This record gives sequence, structure tokens and C-alpha cells, in this order.
Amino acid sequence: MASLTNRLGYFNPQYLRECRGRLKPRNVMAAVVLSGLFQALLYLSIANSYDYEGRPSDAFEIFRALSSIIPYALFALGGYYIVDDLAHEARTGTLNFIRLSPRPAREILIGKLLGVPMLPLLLVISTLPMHVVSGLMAGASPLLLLSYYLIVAIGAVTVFTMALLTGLGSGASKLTQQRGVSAIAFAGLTLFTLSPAFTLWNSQITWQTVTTGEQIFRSWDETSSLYWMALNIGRSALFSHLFVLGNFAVVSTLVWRTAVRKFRVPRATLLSRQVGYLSMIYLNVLVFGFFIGNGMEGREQFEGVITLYFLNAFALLALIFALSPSRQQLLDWVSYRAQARRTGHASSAQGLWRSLVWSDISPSVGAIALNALIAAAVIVPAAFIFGQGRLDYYDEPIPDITAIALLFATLSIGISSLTYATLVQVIFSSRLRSPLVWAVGTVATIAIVPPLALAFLDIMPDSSVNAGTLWTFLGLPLFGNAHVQVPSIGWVGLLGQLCLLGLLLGRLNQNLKQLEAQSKKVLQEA
Amino acid sequence: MPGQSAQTAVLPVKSMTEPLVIKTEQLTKQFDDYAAVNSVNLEVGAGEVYGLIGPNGAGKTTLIRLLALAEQSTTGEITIDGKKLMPGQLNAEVKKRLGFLPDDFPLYNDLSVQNYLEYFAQLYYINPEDLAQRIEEVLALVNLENKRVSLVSELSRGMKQRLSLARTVIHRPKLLLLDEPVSGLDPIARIDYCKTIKRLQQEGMTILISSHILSDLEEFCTSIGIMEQGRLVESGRIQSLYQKDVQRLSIAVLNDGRLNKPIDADSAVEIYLQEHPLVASYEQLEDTGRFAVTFTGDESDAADLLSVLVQEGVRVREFHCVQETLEDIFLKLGHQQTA
Repeated sequence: MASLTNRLGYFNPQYLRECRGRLKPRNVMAAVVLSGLFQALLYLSIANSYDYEGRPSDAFEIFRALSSIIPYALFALGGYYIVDDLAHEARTGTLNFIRLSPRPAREILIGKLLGVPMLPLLLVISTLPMHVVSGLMAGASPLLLLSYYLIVAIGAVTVFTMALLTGLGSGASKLTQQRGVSAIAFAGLTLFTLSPAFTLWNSQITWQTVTTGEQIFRSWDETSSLYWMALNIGRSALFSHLFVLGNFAVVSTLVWRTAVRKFRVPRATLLSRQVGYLSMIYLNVLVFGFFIGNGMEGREQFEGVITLYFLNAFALLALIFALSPSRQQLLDWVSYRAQARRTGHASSAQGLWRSLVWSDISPSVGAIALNALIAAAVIVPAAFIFGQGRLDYYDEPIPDITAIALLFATLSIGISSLTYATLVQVIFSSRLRSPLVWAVGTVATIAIVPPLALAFLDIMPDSSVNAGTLWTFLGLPLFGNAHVQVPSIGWVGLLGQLCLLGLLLGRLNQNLKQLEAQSKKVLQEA
Repeated sequence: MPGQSAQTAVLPVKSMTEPLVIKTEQLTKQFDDYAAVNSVNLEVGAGEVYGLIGPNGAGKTTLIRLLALAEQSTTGEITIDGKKLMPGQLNAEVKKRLGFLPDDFPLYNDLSVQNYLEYFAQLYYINPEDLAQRIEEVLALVNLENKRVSLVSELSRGMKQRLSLARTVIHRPKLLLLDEPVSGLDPIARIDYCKTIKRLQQEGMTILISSHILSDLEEFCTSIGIMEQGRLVESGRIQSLYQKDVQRLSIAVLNDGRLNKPIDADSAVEIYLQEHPLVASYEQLEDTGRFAVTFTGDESDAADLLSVLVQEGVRVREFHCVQETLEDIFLKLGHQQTA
């Protein structure tokens, strides 16, 4: 036995360490007793419930209740354990010792992923006999059970990977450093968003495709005609499963790579440039896929593009914070570049561009520009294609979208993204006590207050030409007629945006030069 | 630097022709408007015990953290045991050669001592077949054999500190980096701890240690580095640091009128000291026949001075070199260089 555990420890010491720390007889006993009590209570409450005509069998009710509860319990409790464990290790400093060991980060994190949520797993596993038996008695096919467990398992891996990242990032602010704060926040997020979304999607779509006989999960009628990239994921068992599993795989991979990077370099930006670009491509392909081959009308498709536009706007805003390096990282970047110049490895203009696009410690403006281009590459052609020959709700023709209007809208949104990115980078490169709070506060104020104030004053984009210009200046051209025709004065709004961006870029450049000069001075003086 | 001074020094430690275990080139770590480590060129040979001293905030901890890969440098290069550190890489081979004990020593309170050590041994790829024996060895090294099954949370502070050391050396690192390892220990525990470090030295480990307790370092260090404001202002074999400075002689003579000269013994000694080319300065202490002499010669020159005094009939009752302490050297050299 000792030899076996030693070999397991050699294979993955982190997993063994978690087993030893958690699988104590008292804990195991508590989990099993708790699960037994819960199952008994569930059975008693269903068996004694009011009987009415057409009421499903007890087994059916138990199976349906357990099928809904299992993802909630597993995701929320498992996520809580993982976040709390990593946040605790980060706070006490033990995580550093693991980080300095020669074991690769993926081994450590796999050990954490499988080992830390062991008790919630045990809790769930001990309910499986009841789940399987009630399911079979209720007429659920073995295929449905197989699909259920496969998707719940893959879903758990995705949620747990997110929990790993949350735990590793819990040192980002003083609030999240407090014991339990990150873990409770993650469990709350899981309970109120991830688990309901998971249960809703799979019970409405994925498991419907493998349900035979009595319908176990209630379904909406229109889900059977749901298409993604012309594949009928609402009816085909193969496509619906491939869609769900594929999405879990992509999300898990992106989050996993981010978690591994965060583990190795705790002070790194939340996302690497590469993962940032991949996430943007993924978001656009995923959402855009629903517009193709789904039999939507032109108007609906165009509304879909507008939805994608807003999603991209939020994604870009999130990326600005996830990709922007701190003052210390910018200092390292300018020092490194200065040293490269001194040692003759002077970086060319091409090298600078490469650095701005790929280096995680370079100013994020270049990366945000590229992400905006990725979004535009999907939205602009889609808006152009779906913006022709549309009818409104009264079947009246809507004017076609013009190429110049699309260019106008794209420029306005692109420039405003760059302005926000530059602003955040200016704040991060300045010496401030809480740069993140300043950046979030400033961006939120600029993004929310002016449009709200204009709306409150009833100055709507299409109320006058000047109003349209003002809205364009705020980076919101699609609120007006900009998607159809550009008022000649609208370009003044763009010009205003460009001037503001130019001023901010100048300020950022000045801050970077100050950092470089400061770096040189410190090294010469000391 | 150790490599430069060792050619003249005869020391009971390994020769400096041995391969370097630590080599840094222009190593710099800048935090905002100050350089915690500034252009440090450090060389430590195999088997050395290198003491890093300096005031608080001098950059000792940052330097050790950079060497331990716990911190990434702004510029400069680090080579450990012939392997250059690659920024952003796992550096697994280097990590296997390193043992790092920071000044705080967080532990896993939910594990037993045995399980705690097993965990770290496995993290460092110790073979399952060798595991039990190695744990026996390190427990014996730190005198915790009888605490094997105790929970870590049940240990005293001193025991926890020793357990941390056991954890740090369990994979037999070639280089041991110890940051203030004896801080917070009572004197007896500190002496025990220092004995353990000496045993590790005898086992052939190269050790870099920072401490504010200079008398401890003096006892077992072969080389010393003094850090001030991020710079390594002095670095060398401990003996060569002493030799760099002038000697202080203490001379006491008897003024009993038996000097066969028209002057008393004090005056005679003063005349010799004034004329001696290797006497930088001297001071007569409270007219007691005792002199404190700053002497720039070596031990042989000092012996010559003594024989001249005796030959001239001065009855010398005391003549010895006042040994400088590491603290004296630190206070003098560190601040001189910074100024």
C-alpha cells in the first residue's frame, strides 16, 4: 500500500497531497452521511407529495430533481473548494514553494483540479445509484444517462478550470484577498449563472436529442429548429453533443492555458495576448454561427449582428483590463528595450510592432486594435450582407446599409476602443495608489454617464445632425442612422475622436519616456 | 570578488578553480523608482558558504529571490551550476539543483511531518525506492525523528523552522539559498540551527545565506558579500576582507624605570612608533603604558616591531593584534563604498 501511494505521489504529488489532506475518515463519513440524509429527504418529500391525475411516477420525479441538483451541487461546491484552497495557499505563501518545484504547472494544477473537490465529488458520486435506478425506472434510456454523465463531467472540468483561474487571481485586490470572499463570489456566480445556463441549455437541447419515450426534460418547441453553422443542433444528437462538448473543450483550453500562465507568473496580466486574440475569434465565430442557415429573416439576422456588436463592445472593454500591463511591467518593458538598444540588439520598427502585438508587457493599445480588427472582420461583412433588402415588422422596406456607413461605424467603434485602451494604459503607467480602481472608475464613468445624460436630456442620435455627431464622438454610431447613411457632419465626430486619441497616445508616450528616463537614472545613481 | 581574491588566500575551503555554482552578470531588479538589485556581478564557487550582509532594504532578499527564481530580473543574467536561467521557462533542471528557504516559512498544518516531507520529496522527483531513507536522513539532520507522525500544526516555532530546512534540502540541492534562517530563534535553537548548516556545508552543498547575526556568519562562512542600496559593494573570501584592512595592535609596556635610557618606556615607544614606516597612527591610552596602534604591515612586520622594542630594552608586557569582527568590516566597508 505504501509503495502504491509512493508511486502515485511520484506520478502526481499534488493529487496525493490533496487526497491526504482531505480524505480523512471524519470528512468521508460526513460526506456520505450528508448525501444519505439528502437522498432520504428527497425520497420522503416526493413519496408523500400530493397525488393528482397525470402526476409522474415517484421515480420520474426523483430522477428529474436529482438531474437538476447534481450540476448545481457539483459546480458550486467543487468551485468553492478550489477557489478557497488556491486563495488560501496564495495568501499564506505555500503556493510559492510548489511554484518553485521542478514539476510542470500542468501537473500541479491537474492535481488540484482532481484532488481539491474530492469531497463534493464523493457527495455527488454517492447519489449516483439513486439517480441511475430512478432514471431507469422512469424510462430514461441508457444513452440519456451516458450523455448526462458525460456532459456533467466535462462541464465540471470547465467550471473547475475557471475556479482554478479565479483562485490564482484572488490576489488581484485587497477585497478578494480576504478569506472566503473569492470562493463565495465564485460559488454565487456558479449558482446563479453557470449552473442555470448549463441545466437550461442541456435539458432544452442536448438531452432532448437522446430522450426516447416519455419526455423527461420539458422543452420549448422552437429548440428543434436551432441551427449553428447550418448544423441542426436542436435535433441531431451527434451535432448537439459535438457542439456542447466542443464549446466546453474550447473554453476549458483557453481558461486552462490562462490558469497555467497565471500559476507560473503570478504578476502577469490576466490574459496573454495570444489567448486574448483566440477568445475574440472564438466569441465571434460562436455567435456568428447562429446566424447561418437557421432560416432567420434578414431583419432578425441584422439584429443578431447588432447583438454581436454589443457583445464585442463588452468583450473589448473586458480585454482592455485583462491585457493591460501594470506600471512595473511597463517599466520592465522599457528597460528591456533600452538594454536591447544598448547591447546592439536594437529592435527595428518591425520588432516594435511585433512586441506591441505579442509581448504581454507591452502597452495594450496595439493588441486592442488587433482585437477590434478581428471583431470588425466578422461584423462588417455580416452587417453589409444582412443589411440589404430588409423589411420592418410591417413588411415595409428598410433602406439598405451602405459601405461608407459601415466604414464610418467601424471607425467610430474602433477609435473609441483604442481611446479606452490608451486611457487605461495612461492610468496604469502613472504612479497611483489604486490604478485598477481609477481605471475602472474612469472608463465606466466615460462609457456610461455621457450617453445616459444625453438620453436623459432627450438628445437622441437621430434627433438632429449635431446630436448624431455627438453620439458618434462617444463611439455609439449605431444608435443613430449611421448604419444606413452617414450625415456629412458625422465625420466631425470621428475627427473629434481622433484628436482625443492622439492626445492620449501622446500622453502615454510621454509616460513611457518618463519611465525609461527614471529607469536609467535609478541605475546610474545607485 | 571571490574569484579574484582567492589566489592569495589560503583557506580550509575548496579552491576557487572549482566550477562556479552561482554566476550573475549585471543582474538588476528595478521596482518603480528604485533598484532593489543593481548591476550585481556575483560569483560563488562550489562548496562555498557565502554570507550576504547588509542593512534592511539593501536588496539581500531580492537577490536571493532572483537566484531562487521566485522573482524575475529586469535585466541581467543568472547562471546556476553552469545552466543559464531562461526567463519565462520552467527551468526544471535548475530548480532540481536549488533549495530555497525564505525568511517566512509557511507550512501545511493539515499534514503530518512525514507526509509533508514526502510531498516535497515527490515534487522534486525523489525515487519512490529512496524516499523512506531520505526522509530518515533529513529528519535526523534536523533532530525531528520523534516527530514523524505529529501534525505540522503541533510543532513549536523552532521545530517548524527545522522542518522547513529539512524540506529545503530533501532533494539534496547543489545550491542552498537561506534568507534569514535563524531569525526569531532563541539562542540555543540558533546554535543548533547553525550546527545543522555546518553539517550541510560538510556534505558539500554550496550555501548562500543572509543574516543579521554576523557572529554566526563569521563562524561558518567562507566568503562574504556586503550589499548596500542594491549594489554588491564588497565581495570576497572572508580572510581577504580582513587582510584588506589595516591591523590594530595593542601594546602595553612597563614604566618601572628599568629602561637603560634617559627617557621612560612610554616616550621610547612613542619615538619608535613615530619613526616606524608601517605605523599609520597610534594613541596612548590614559597614560597607562598602553598604546592602540594602527598598523599597515602584516603579521611578520608586527613581529619585527615587537623584537625591535624588546631589543631596545622596552619591557613589553602585552603585544597582540586586535582581531576585527565582521561587524567592524561591515560597518566600515559597506558605508565607505556607498559614500
